[in-house]
Amino acid sequence: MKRYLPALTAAALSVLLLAPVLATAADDEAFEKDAAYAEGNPPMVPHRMEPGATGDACLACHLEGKNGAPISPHAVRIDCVQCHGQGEIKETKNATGKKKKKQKEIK
Amino acid sequence: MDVSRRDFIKASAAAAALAAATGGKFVGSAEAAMDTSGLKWGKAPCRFCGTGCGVLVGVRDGKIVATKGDPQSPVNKGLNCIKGYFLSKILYGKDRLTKPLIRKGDKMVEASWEEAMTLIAGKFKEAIATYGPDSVAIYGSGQWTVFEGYAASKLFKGGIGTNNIEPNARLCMASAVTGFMTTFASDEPMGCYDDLDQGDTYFLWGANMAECHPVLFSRLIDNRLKNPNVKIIDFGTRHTRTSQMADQYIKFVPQTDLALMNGIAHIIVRDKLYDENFIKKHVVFKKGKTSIGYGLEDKFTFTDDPKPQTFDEYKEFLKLYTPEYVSKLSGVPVQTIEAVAKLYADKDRKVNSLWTMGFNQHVRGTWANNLVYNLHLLTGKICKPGENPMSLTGQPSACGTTREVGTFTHRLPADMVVTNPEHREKAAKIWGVDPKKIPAKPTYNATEMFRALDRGDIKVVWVQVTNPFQSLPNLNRYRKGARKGDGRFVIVSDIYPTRSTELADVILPSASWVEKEGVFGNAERRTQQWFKQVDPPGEARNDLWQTIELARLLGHGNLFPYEYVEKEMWEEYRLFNAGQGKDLAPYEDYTKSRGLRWPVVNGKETLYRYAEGYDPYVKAGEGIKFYKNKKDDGKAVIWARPYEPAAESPDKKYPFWLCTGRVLEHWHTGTMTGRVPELRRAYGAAVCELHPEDAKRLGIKQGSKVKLSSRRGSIVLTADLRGRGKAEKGNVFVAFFDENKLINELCIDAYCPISGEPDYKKCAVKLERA
Ligand code: SF4
Repeated sequence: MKRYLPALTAAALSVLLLAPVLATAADDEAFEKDAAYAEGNPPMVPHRMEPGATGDACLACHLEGKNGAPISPHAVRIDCVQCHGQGEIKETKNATGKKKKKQKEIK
Repeated sequence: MDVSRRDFIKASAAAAALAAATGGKFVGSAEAAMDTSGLKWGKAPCRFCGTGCGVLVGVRDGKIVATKGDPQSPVNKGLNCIKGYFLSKILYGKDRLTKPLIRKGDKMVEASWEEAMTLIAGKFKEAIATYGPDSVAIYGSGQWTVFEGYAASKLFKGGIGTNNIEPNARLCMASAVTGFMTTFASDEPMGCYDDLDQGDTYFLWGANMAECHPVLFSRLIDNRLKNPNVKIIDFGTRHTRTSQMADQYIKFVPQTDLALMNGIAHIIVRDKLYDENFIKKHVVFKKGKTSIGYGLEDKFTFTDDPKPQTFDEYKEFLKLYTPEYVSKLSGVPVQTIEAVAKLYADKDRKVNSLWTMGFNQHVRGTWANNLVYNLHLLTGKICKPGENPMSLTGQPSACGTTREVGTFTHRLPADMVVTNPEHREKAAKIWGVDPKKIPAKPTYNATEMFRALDRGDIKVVWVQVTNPFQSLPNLNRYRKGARKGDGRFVIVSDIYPTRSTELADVILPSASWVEKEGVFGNAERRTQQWFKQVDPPGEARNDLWQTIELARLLGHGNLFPYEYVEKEMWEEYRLFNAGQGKDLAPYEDYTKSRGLRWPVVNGKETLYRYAEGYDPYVKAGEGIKFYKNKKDDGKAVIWARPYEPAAESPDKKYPFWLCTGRVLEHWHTGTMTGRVPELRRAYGAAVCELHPEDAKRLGIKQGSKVKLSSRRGSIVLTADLRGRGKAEKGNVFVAFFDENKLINELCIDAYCPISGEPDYKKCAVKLERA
């Protein structure tokens, strides 16, 4: 994980990691603006996840889009599983892209 | 992994550009597919953990249809964990309770509120008249809003005249409270979450933050991304997701954290790495009783007997804890203990300690808390931005409600206690009752309360916003006790059927979260308010209304003379805190802000308690002042607290340690998260984590059924040898959320004699193939 460290610019961090805090909002209209600005909720993972999956394993594909994986819009958030849980397993591929005949759900 | 640094910059930059171009909307978001137009948005703190993330709640046609991490909240700055992302679904399980239910034999029969409340009030009156006020009780929660906790305390202590009020926080935060009270004479942390961004050395003690305080863990990891100097060191008895992402994982034998911390102090003292000046100015030394017992007998009592010590006497006490001795006990190599002690004392490092249930749910929980403060007090790394000990909380308002309002048998608001006549006087004055009404003697801690119900000393108990018949230790005894009949009467208010409602005589359907107005206080002293945003379903009603209705029926309606209940109650409650270093702001200030960290004086929140320039109570020139500890001249206490063994350790018959805890997807007993299909799919059932070598020896394979037994109970679970958490040899771990697998039947009901908090992390079990 640490190999990433020096690479990050402050700008990338402020855009990606934590949204900058705007003026304090109190009324409904402001809440609506905040909501429009807020991120949507993260998708669940439609393929089998290793029990120990974290940034390293996920970003192996989701950093650059290997094996047809969607590119992560916030690759600096490396505790991926905090937000992205095991979803319904739709594909017959596992996370490394290899075809599998049968796939067991992870408990 | 073959991702190069260059690739990473490229990808990050591209993503940044994309994010900027789409105005901060991110691709790949599930929300993108959802129509959020025409929603009415409001704010609330998350319903779940003590992190206290801010969320935005989107409502359409009287229903919550979306929630989002609040970008304006300083706690989470837009981020949530997976539980928070599904908040919009937690209130809409199909089996939501919508009508009061009264037991008729084996059946629960629908009733009107009037019928139910009249029955309840009748039972209260009858028990009080026949057996006295100490035969009735209320068992509440760190998920109570401040108002609900305040009303319950006022009614029971000030109206009915019994100290029979306890929160489930006794099971999770009581040792943190007694730790704070004995070391600093005031509850709750000096530091705040800003320390997670500003420090560089983080010791986690038995805290699986990645699963239990995920957003705070992400703040730690963000800090490390920006600052390569940051080190995260995880002390644990189980290899978790947190250990996996930490820089170092140090495993130790359960219970030996006490020895380890004394060992670290031993080295700091031996090598004169302490901050002599700080110690002279800010510290006194004390010792207390030893061999203090385990609270296993009914009506167990304990009173400590603090004695002052000199620094030299403390040094003498530490002599035993040589690295070699500690290494032998804990299994941690001598070099590691030496290295850790040097890190703690390194003048160029900003050191933080973080802990939660590993220390608190411990038969020496108070001592564990004292010992970690010792390390910060010896090295002077406290009350400074970026270097503090930080006790994390489990529930959204364990701090705000149970600790600050003081809904424990012995407490009153703002750190006051019933044993102190001046405190009773003050409470009675604010409440407008006769001081004699508030009994001077505490009655039962949570475990003892249910022992009393089992014995029949308590006849009527009302459970609100919690699920004791899944969450108490040694469950079999207390589940049976609740249904022994003979005048016992159990009332449970909840939003879903639970393992507690099934034992109730009356079930009351409650409103939850944004179905009512509320205030929660999180782990960094941040008080957060929200308004009611939707109606509760059917006839479900606010627990606050329920308590006040009981008061009215018992003739104590005069205790609640409010029109705008929440606001007026808040202004009354604030009187307790004013001038006590715990000042709270006027109600409006919270409606307008994303929370404020107390003490709030002249509209200004406090980031660092006891520190000049931050805490308005510290005078110019004082630097640091532990001003709440008046009896020790504003100094904090370094305690000589020895290592003592657990209440029950593995032996020939029961050779494994059992540890219980949480998983990321579920919260507490799973009554809410268990009703979200996505969370249930992500983590469906509790499993038994065990080490592959232990499994092999016993002929147990991944996925095979194992029978797990202790002296108190036995259950069958699926073995997991390669789950997200990895048990150490001789240890097993089982999560407690699963209502179909009541692991707490196996747990021992031993508790810390000072805090009364049970140890859910250590008891002896055996394993067999089932
Ligand atoms: S459960 Fe805790 S970490 Fe997760 S969103 Fe809620 S408050 Fe934040």
